Amino acid sequence: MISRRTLLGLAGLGLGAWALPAWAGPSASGRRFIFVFADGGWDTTRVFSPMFDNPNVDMETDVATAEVSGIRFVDSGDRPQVRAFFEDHGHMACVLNGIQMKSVAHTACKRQIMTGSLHQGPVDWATRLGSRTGDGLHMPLVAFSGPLYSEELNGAVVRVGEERQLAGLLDGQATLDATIPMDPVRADLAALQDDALATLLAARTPGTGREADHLAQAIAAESRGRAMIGMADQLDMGSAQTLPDKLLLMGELFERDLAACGIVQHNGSLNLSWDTHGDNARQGPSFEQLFESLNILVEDLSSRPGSSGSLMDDTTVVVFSEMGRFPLLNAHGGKEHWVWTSAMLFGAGVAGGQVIGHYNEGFTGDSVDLDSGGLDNSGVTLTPEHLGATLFALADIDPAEHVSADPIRAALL
Amino acid sequence: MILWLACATGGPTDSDPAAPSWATAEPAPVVPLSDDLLLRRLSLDLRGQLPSVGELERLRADPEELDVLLAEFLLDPRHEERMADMFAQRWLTRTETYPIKYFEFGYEDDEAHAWRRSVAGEPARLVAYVAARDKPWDEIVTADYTIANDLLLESWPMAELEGREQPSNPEWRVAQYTDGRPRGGVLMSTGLWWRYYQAIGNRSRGEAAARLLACTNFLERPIVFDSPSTLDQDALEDAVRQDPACQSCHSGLDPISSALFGFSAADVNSPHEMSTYHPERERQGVTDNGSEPGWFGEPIYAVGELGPVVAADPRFASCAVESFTEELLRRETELDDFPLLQDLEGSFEQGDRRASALITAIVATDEYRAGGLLPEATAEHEKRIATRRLMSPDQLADSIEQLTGYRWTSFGYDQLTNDVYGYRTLTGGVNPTVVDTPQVGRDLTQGLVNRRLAQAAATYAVEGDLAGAGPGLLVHVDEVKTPADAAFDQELDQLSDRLHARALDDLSREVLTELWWATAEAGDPVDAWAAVVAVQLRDPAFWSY
Repeated sequence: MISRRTLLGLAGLGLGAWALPAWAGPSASGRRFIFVFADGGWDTTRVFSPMFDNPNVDMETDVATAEVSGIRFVDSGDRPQVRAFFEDHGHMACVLNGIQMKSVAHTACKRQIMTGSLHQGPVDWATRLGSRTGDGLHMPLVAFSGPLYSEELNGAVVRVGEERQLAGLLDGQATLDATIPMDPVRADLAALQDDALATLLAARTPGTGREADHLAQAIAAESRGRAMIGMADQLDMGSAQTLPDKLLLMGELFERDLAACGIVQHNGSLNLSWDTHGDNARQGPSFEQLFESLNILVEDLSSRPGSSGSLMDDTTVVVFSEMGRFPLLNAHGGKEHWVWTSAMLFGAGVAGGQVIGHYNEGFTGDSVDLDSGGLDNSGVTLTPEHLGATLFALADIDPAEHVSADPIRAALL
Repeated sequence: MILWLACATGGPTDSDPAAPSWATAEPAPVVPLSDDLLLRRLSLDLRGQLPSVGELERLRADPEELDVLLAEFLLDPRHEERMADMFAQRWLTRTETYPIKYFEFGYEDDEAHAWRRSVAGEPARLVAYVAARDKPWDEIVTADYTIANDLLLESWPMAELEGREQPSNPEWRVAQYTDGRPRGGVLMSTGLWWRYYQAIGNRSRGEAAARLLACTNFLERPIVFDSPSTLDQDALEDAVRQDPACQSCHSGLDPISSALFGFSAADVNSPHEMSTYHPERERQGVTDNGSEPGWFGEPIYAVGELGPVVAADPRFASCAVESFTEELLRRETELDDFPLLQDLEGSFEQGDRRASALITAIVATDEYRAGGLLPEATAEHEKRIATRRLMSPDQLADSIEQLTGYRWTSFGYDQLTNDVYGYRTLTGGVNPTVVDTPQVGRDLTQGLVNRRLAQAAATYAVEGDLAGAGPGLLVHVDEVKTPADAAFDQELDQLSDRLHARALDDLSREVLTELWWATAEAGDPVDAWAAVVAVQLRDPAFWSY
């Protein structure tokens, strides 16, 4: 029998049935991941693939090839943040050129770049990494925005919302702002409710199948929710509006051991998307803004303590887009979709200062030797699955558990 | 597509009772739901709301009433709303980004959500109208009408159509476009073709038509560009038209895309251009795409012929079966579902392609009625069979409003059905640009949304009921009654019945009673009853069904 005094006492002490929630505790692995997604399809010839000698490719004017820290890139006076990134951090960055997509449709390509498949079913890289490296954390994968296909692992994902709605749920402002405004329940009374619900759930026969799943998920979600609400006044989830803001918040969540992974979407310069059918000139400012954010991220993570050094030493950053752009300009000065793209990895575990893969005269990807990273006619065409396998390897997860491709071993330290 | 794949591999093509034994579905290793919980599932799936206590009592008095109640649910006005929600989710129409914005039609910010929902609602409500009125399914592609509300009637060239049976929701009416577009049901829906916006060669629209109406997903077919010769826009278009690898998709896709060129706007920033159909462009695809209009090998001259051709395509009926089955079983169908789908298609055809026949057949399956798994169930069964389902954001919002009278809105936005300011994806829902499938498991943010909504709604209802002016959630108690009164237990019993469709067990009664005492001691009786209700709304027995 649970006495009224017991319930009151537990609530007063803040020790309900969830005082030791299943999700509390440090992460098993020190490795963190941040996915920065350029939404709409980026033009790789604006940074990653200097193709000035290729008549099949429309490059910008007033730009040139530069090489810094072992990375050849397209250097523009209008993009000092790009140059600064490679100058300061190129030694820990690895560019992957010539990744083959199997579609030119945004929805299909987003699924493929995140899961390796065009079909519904496979779980995306970020969710898998979050669910493994973030096991035990309150927010295994923090999703500000960006494509996710979490399927049965959705419990690992914590969506913040486009307008940071999570903040209102945590501090109770959500119902206070309603048309019929309702004050949040007083904390001591809410604790009584939480304790009662915890007691009910803990005593319940789990059943089978989804009934058991839902019960276990409810116990975990309520536990984590209660803990997060308890931190609401120390954790500002609501003010991160811009890409740099969100990346800085990721650093804070990592430092506080609340999260292991994050995904943030960049919508291009002026929020006009990277999908530049009508005006490819927007690609340059979009890259500049993106790299400015990456510079801020590196500076921030480098200033925060990690497991052995700074958080930058623990964190791998994946910068990617769902597709590339057709090498030639269209009649509107834009570029259409293209099935070959690039990605960039930097940070922990990444063998930096190198470009792996290459675009040939037809602006398709050449084959690569996964061990050396060099061009090799008997090698493989890079695909999103190779990217996924590499990320799994970085997280000490056997890639064979989830993908049929091998990791790009040359990209790994 | 599954049926077609199976046909291609030599399987039977109709529901011949003498079909070979492999066509018989294996019995699912499941434990059936209790009658009460089955009624709850049926009510939520078909009406989006909970069964009433009276309906539960009818079933308890006579289990044969289940079929009668099912028939009543299919005639319930809320069935049409539920079908609209279901197809809007499946067809990914409830987007928040349209090429034309609400303010360009003169609407204010606080009308933005309603306007977007209206645009998104048009195709789904047409489908729902056909389903709920039990009209032949072909009508979704042949109707000479659409469904519109005041906002659409103001925004688009259309007028109410007199003399027709009206939708169950009085805000919506049968309407007809006045811009000369041919009949064609959803094929002629501005709402659908704003969602699937024009791209090169109108192909996004062709792709959507094939996926939604024939369950043929061109986007799942890989394409390969590996020839340097394609590095020229003209050469690329030539390849699309001639290269065998390209043609494997484009020979099917491009004719459909060509058929829809009447929706091509010359100026995508012009509300008038975007809202109006352009008959003069109907044949523009012939030059732009290099493809005559058609539907999977069946040529047509113009889109006016498309609806009947789609309806006559066996893929269309198979896709209807696949769509309803996947939504009601809450999973994707696979090749080994062929016997099941074949049986269901037989029921659909025997029912003259009316939704009620199909729905009735699906909800009669062991899998639909599963409440648990038998010991012999495999991990694959565990993954596939939805022995419990999460309430969708729509179901959660509607059920809580039904019980408490509380609807969570803010600044004109329905908070569980939008992501601009609200919590649709945070509640596990679908947003076409962010999440394309509903969540199957409970997570942190779903718990938080449910918590805040449950607490607000419970307080709202209890304050009203104890003041004598509430929604009638509490029917036995008042402000002075305590657990010492018999009415207290009666109230707990009726709450458990209404919210969970099950009898309250001893532990729950004990915990809720102690919660009431503890909360009343720290607060007051309103707090105490609100606590009891909120905890029950947060319980999986409420949101998992």
